[in-house]
Amino acid sequence: MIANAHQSEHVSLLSIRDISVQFGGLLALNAVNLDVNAGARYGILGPNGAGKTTLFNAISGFVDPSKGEIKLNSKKLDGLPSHERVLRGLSRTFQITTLFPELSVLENVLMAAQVDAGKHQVFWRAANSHKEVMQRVEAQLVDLNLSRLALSTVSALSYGEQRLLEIAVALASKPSVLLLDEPTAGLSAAEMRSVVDLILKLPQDLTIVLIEHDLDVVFDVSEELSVLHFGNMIAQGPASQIREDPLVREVYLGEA
Amino acid sequence: MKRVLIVIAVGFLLAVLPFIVSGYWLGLITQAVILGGFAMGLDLLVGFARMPSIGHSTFFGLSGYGVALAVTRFDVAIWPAVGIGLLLSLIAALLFGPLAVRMRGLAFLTITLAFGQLTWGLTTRWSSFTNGENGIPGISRPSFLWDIETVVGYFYFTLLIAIAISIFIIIFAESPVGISLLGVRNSDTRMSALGYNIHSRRTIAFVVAAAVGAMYGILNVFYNKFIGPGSLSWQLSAQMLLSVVVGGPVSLWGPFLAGSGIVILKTMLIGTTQRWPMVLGLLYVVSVVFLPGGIASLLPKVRARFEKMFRGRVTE
Repeated sequence: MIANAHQSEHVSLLSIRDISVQFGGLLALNAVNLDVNAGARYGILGPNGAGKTTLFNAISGFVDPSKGEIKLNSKKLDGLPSHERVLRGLSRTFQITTLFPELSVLENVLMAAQVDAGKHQVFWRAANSHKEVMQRVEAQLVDLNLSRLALSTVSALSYGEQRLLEIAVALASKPSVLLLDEPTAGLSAAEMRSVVDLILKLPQDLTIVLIEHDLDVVFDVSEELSVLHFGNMIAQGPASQIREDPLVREVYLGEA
Repeated sequence: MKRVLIVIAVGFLLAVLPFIVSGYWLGLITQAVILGGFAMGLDLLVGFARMPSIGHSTFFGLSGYGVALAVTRFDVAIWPAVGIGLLLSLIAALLFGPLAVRMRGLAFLTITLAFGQLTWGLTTRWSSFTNGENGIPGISRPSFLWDIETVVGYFYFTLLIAIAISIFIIIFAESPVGISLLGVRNSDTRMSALGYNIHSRRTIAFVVAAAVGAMYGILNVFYNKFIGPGSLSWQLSAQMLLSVVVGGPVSLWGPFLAGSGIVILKTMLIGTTQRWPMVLGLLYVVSVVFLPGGIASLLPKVRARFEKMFRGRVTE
């Protein structure tokens, strides 16, 4: 069951080989391996500073790994700028909400949808005149229960609504792999529940990699997990197995 | 679409001016339209993409110098010379733009100033070719569908081109590319995470603002029948930057209004005071303190007031 290229013959959708990231004297990631199959719900667990976000940044091209290899659909991503990785089917959210605060909810989603529709180079037609783009934006907003807020400015939204929009924007890129960086960070229990429900409702063919702090959320959502600790991958496997792993319990759950 | 119609309507309204105002005022208004239009184009860069350039007079002046030099030094016919002028500005923008857009905020401001001073310095020092501080006089206007030698004729010529450029700017601003400039100003990270090449987006804003400046630079050189290093000066760039801020970034019409208003104000005041820059500075301070959204932010307030009045009457 352990996703490991040495043991399984088939090629995973997202494959990470020996990725190391160095920040000055700090080794943020140390030869990390990760294989995510198409349609997987993959969780990444680890205490603060474990290197989870750095791993996402490496995958999405926001930091350059000092060594290692990242492949999506068997194609190397290394060296590609982040915007080109999006066109390859990678989309992500940010732990710290990263939206366009001065624009409306609709415009935020539109910004993503027009890239996927290939209309982002058009300068001779109004952005809101592309029917297929607008339909997609609308559908995305309906899916996430955000249509009533379509014309509100993002800065006027509640934090919970902004977290939802963050996911809506990432989804509007129509990714094959969605990287969710702590989507429930800072949310109330009820808001957290609605985000988890949303993630569970996402199409089965969408591959999701989830960074989470909240154990309930991780075990609710992901079937498979990796645990990071000080840049090292200390455990990988099915959720049930990770829950019982003594090393994980020690470093993460705080048990001796 | 609505905004395009407004531009055309305003154009028609302005078209009656020759029947109302004197030749002196018409000339002044022509200049005001030129600098207002220039400010409107700069809004795409300064307002939309929030990249404060203090060097865009470079492209305004270079296109003018291109025309003047092509005509006086190389005996090029006037219309082809216009092409050369525009090309010169475009090449400069494509040269400076990609370098400048890697900087942000103050660093961007400084590097645009440096580029601007570079062309200004070159033009003033290379006297044998550019005539230095004295500039190049005696540039005649091209032939057009109607006689543009007269003040009225040239006003209509300027108006026509300004309407065309404004329509282009408005369509561009509402397009996917235009919207993406608003994204670049808000969040680089999010934009790259959505698949936008932010450097190329910022370059687009830089070059389009430069191209608009270049076209108005052509109108400027034919209006004055003269070009001097003043058209390349950082003071002009600063005046344009100020027009965008005072007018209200991203509104497009605000910077146009402020850009042209400042021209008229300057002409009226320069006869009575030696301290024009001080007046300009004061205007800037007052607008930033009391009207941080610029002139354009007044419109919603006025509209709300009208709505309130209207509602009041209905309920009475």
